[in-house]
Amino acid sequence: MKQYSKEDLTLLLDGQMPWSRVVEIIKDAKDEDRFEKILEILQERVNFKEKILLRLHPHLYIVQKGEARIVKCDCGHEFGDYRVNWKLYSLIYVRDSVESLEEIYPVDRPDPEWCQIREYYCPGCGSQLEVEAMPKGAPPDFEFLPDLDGFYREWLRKPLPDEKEFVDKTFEVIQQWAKK
Amino acid sequence: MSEIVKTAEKAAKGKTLKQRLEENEKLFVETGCLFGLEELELKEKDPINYGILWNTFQNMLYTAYETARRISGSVTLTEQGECMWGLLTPTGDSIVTSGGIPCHLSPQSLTVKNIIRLNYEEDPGINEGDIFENNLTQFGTTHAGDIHDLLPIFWERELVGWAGGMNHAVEVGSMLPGSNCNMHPNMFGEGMHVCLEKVGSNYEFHRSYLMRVEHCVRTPSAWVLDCKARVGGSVIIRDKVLDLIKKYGVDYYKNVTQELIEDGRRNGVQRLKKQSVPGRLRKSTFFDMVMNGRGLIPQQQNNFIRSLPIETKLGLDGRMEISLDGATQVEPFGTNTTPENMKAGTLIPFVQLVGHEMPNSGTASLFDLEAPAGSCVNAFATNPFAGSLSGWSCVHPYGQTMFELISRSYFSRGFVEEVVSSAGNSGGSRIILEGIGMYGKHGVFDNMEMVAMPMPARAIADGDPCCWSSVHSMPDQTNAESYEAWYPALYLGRNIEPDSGGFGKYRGGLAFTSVFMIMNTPGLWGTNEAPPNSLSAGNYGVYGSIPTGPRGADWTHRANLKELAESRKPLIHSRRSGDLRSPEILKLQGDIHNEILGWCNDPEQFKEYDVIVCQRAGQPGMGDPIERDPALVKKDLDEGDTFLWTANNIFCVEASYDDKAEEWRIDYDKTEKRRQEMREKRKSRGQPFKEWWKTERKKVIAKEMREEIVAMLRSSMQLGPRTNKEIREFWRLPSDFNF
Repeated sequence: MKQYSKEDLTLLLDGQMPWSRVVEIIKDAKDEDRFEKILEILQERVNFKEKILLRLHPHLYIVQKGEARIVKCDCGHEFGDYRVNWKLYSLIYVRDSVESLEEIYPVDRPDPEWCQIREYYCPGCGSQLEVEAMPKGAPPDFEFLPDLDGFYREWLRKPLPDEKEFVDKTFEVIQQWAKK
Repeated sequence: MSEIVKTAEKAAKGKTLKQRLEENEKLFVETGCLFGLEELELKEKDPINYGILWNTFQNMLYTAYETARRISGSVTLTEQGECMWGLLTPTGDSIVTSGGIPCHLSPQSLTVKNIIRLNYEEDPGINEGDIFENNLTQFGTTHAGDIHDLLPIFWERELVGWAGGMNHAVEVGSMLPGSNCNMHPNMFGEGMHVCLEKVGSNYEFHRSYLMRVEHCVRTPSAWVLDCKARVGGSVIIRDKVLDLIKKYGVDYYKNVTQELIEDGRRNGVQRLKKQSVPGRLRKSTFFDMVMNGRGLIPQQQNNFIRSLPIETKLGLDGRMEISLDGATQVEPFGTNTTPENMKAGTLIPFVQLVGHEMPNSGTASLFDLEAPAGSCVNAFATNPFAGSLSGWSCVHPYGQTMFELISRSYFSRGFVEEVVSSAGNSGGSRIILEGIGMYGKHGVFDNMEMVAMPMPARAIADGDPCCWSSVHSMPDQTNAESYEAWYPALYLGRNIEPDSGGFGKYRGGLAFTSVFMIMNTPGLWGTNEAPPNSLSAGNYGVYGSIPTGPRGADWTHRANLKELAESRKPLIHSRRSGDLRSPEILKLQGDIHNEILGWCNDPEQFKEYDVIVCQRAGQPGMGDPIERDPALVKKDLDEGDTFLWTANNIFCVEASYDDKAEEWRIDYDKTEKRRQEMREKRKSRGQPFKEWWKTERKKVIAKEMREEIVAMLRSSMQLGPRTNKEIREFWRLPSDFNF
């Protein structure tokens, strides 16, 4: 079975591996234990104790917190149930003026009447987590909702306790906001 | 029914091709395996020989590709390789493809299947030496510029398969020159259609077909040479197939080719199950068409925004269910397409990220796709005459965004070496010219150099500049001299453009810009085939990177270039240089057209010494720009790939130039301080999403937005029930509210 050491995978993860070696890894058969080893490396890096179930983003993880599964930034900020678009719990900054757009587009600037640039930040550490270019009125993307239980149960053969329904719960939160 | 087909029937246990096709489709539904092959007996019995045979097939196709494309007279084939060849089963399933544009395995397969479904066995019959050709979108190709030729292969009078070639033709006789015209309001301005026809017998083209070519396209000799290339490559494949059958026997050949296709499917499923995480992935894409005052007919005299939201569900069975619910309406331009072409678009990332070891119909069987009837991506469902010559304008951004979706799943599984950002924004401005060229003949001059595009950022490295392609397996910018031998223009410059890639922890690959000076012509008419967006940024940021901005072409009339050249003064050689904010073209004097928006024709001819600046699009980045390694910023500064302004303001890197050492120096302490200040600034200026939502909701309900956006939302919701529901739920729109 193909395997790589945690040292090698750390270099790969951090973009520090010499490119010729990366090409060898791309061409070679894939290691069967990659997911588990990567989670070990990431778990050793984060300051929080909750178990990482999946890495969603360079900064965001789905972790087991008690009976819940939430999205958590590596800085420690918690975003809520992973089945709710984490953007609902972020800070948003919308560039919809010439001045604000010119701060990041000194040339080839979009027209603010046609396009908003929405920046999503972590409220904890200020990392810029996602940026969208959307016309006004277009709802934000919920880029990835993983079938976590299906993945663990069928593909990894390591079922998670307390299976959760694979469903998008974003609109339930919005509904609550509208009531208040 | 012809004698030959009767023999084929006997061999296929009395079934017609149509019956066999239907049976194959039924077996797939019933068993989940192509051809019902639940076991790969030949592979299991002799895996070594099986592997050798697969390599033999690949070599066969690459031989056809490398040899036959040289028959063409078009630089786009001979040097750029904008073509492909394939080998298919008798029922039209792709066994193996060449390099070139492998996603065409799907249109090629569909073309043969349509030949079968439309009872061509009966009329006109399928015989040895027949040449079938198609460039009608409705019957299989991606657009009329991508022309497919298919030749049946017979062994002892039994149909044992098809060999096919396709290429992107430079000119198709459209109302405007070239083969990617956007301006025709329906299919009747698309040019010469070859509507799934038998155009040749006994390996010769029919005289009537050649007559039509001679009088219906602007460059008939180029068309005919392309035809000969497609047929020539198919004949090479045929000969090699017959050699294989002599060696292995026809029964072994028929069985092993089916196993290779089912194996291709299993290969893809295995990869997805090993490298990805199942779930739902989504991304919205938008495309502005700034056409107010530029259209040919009243229906085109508006601005439009196309919405093309993409949702894909990767199931536990390793298959994808793709939905384009929310796609906006059929457009009054040549920009529409079909669900089948969007499937070909899905193959764009699939043959690179999923099925790259065995790309064939097995790979194409890994997904289903649904598109709303009456949308721009399912146009013919409600408008049988929709224009589609530039259907790639839908297919390209979609296929390229799928790179991101598959990559997000790979990222979560930990296979970071396989992850790329969205490949959106590929292409760029392109001016197609028509007129008398340097040899005194009327011609069409379309420079396809942007096939060699930059690469999107990886999860672990910057994207490479100008040497990759989302669609082409072996992209080639082509030698400038080759174009100059044909194109009545001289290159004044071909440059990598600084800061053209998306800013991120890893930046997108940098684009290149070409500067041309028109020469050796009495005059040329020009059409601007515009870049993906003229006024908007494409929604292609990933994990915090900044999307690249819109692009426009530049050109001049009656500029002072000749005077500058004669007095040995500097000309212009790039789009921008030195001062970040000043386009080079503005240094010239004359009638300057800077940042052209939208598609348009220039009402004035280009004359000698006029200048055209074609800029190509940089690719998206990945990650937060203020996490970029300062050493990479230094490298970019040293190599002229970025500017100090960008280093300071986007990457928050403190840098200064050391005149003595002639290199840039980074102050790491000040850099870290700048970055921490930026993080605090973000926390300060950002508002909780809930607050923004409450305020924005009121504006949305009051429709405080451009009419084009309102029209887009209206169309998106009218055609897409899921999108309708979700937009209403997200904004909590009143029940009687409509856009």
